[in-house]
Amino acid sequence: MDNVSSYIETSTEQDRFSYVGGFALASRAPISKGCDERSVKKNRKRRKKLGSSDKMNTESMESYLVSIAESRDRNAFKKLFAAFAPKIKSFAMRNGVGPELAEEVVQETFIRVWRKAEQFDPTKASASTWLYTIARNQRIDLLRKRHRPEPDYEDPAFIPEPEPQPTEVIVRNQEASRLKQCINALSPEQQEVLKLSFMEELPHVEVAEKLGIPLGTVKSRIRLAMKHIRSEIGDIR
Amino acid sequence: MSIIHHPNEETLLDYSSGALGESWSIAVATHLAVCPECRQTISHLEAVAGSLLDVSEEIKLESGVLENILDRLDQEDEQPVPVNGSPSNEETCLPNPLREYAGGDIDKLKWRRLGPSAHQLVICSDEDGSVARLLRIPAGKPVPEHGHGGEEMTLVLKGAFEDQLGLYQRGDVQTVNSAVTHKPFAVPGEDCICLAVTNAPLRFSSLTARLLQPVIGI
Repeated sequence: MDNVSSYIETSTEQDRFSYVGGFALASRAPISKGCDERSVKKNRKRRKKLGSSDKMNTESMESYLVSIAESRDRNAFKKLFAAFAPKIKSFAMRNGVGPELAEEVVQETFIRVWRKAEQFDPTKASASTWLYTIARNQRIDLLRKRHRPEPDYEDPAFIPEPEPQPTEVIVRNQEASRLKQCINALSPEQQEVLKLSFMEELPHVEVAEKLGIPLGTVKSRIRLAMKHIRSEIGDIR
Repeated sequence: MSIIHHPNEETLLDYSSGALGESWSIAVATHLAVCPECRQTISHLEAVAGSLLDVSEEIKLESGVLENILDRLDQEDEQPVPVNGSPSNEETCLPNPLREYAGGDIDKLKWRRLGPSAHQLVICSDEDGSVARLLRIPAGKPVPEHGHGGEEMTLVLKGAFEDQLGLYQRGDVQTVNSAVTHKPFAVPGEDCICLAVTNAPLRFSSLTARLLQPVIGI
């Protein structure tokens, strides 16, 4: 009985603080992921809170995702598809994968966009970041035929971050454009390492081999790039 | 609880790009479940990836892909919402995704003997030879001194261990490479349970341990 009540306490606590971001996006969730009623309701509240006062552009990719979540809006879905499907196809074709298999990645990605739209939280991530995490997981699933372990934010053992202050929410909404400037400001060498990592899905050891440079050089480029990004976007702790 | 030792940034990068092997990813993902600080780094990394996706080249799709998806959406809308579950006792709790791989919490594990007093449970083996295993070292007891044929990443789940590199408690991660020889011992008080990932067999310094190695399989 004690265990049960302590579990309920923990999960209420988490509910209040729970994190909804890239981590809740496991494509093949072992235990049911954020489809949980509570998290859906909470997100709905969060979107309302954001609402019009947040000046979310009604034609932004983020607003399409919110419309899909709230009203199963197929027009918004088609617009999102038109904007992102060709990019995700090229992303999936990076490692010499044929167009047919790449389109399968696109297809499975957008099915999950529909299925998980309620988990999208515009205060936590931009639409392109959210879509990236789903496409990445589909690429691992379909091309590597491998499972990707991810933390489960509904899990009783999950330790949530403190709720962000309202000012931080605004900062995160501006993050996408600031981040683009920030990436452009990285040295070409640092950009190259990040691009090979994310787009070609190369582990950093293979990035070093491909560029013909010492492993230590790749590590220091990664660390310098992250230091720069962190100082620009800031740590929320 | 405060976590002092974290995975390297290049390991977090490989995890967020999807390039990290499954055994290693279990350790990283389980650390992330208890470490908001590293989740922050991951969300920065994923934001970088999102920006790169944004400026990706576009390749036109064959006609019919969108129509196929729209057809499937009709079926999607009829799917029932899955119910979440799996309450757990804090004392014995393994954070997900580890609990899934281990098949239960600490009190439910099917340990196998490893040497005279330690126990192990292999939970994942990758094609490249990487292995993730849970280890249980009795309170106050050492693991025989050993070096590493490759990399070793250890995540503490319960209790603590100490070696010349420092003290590691729940949530802490130690990463060592072939240059390091160490003799970790479990801190007295309670057994130390950790998740160890390796990509090559350990190199024990003592002859007895080396002779036992084929039998105990580590």
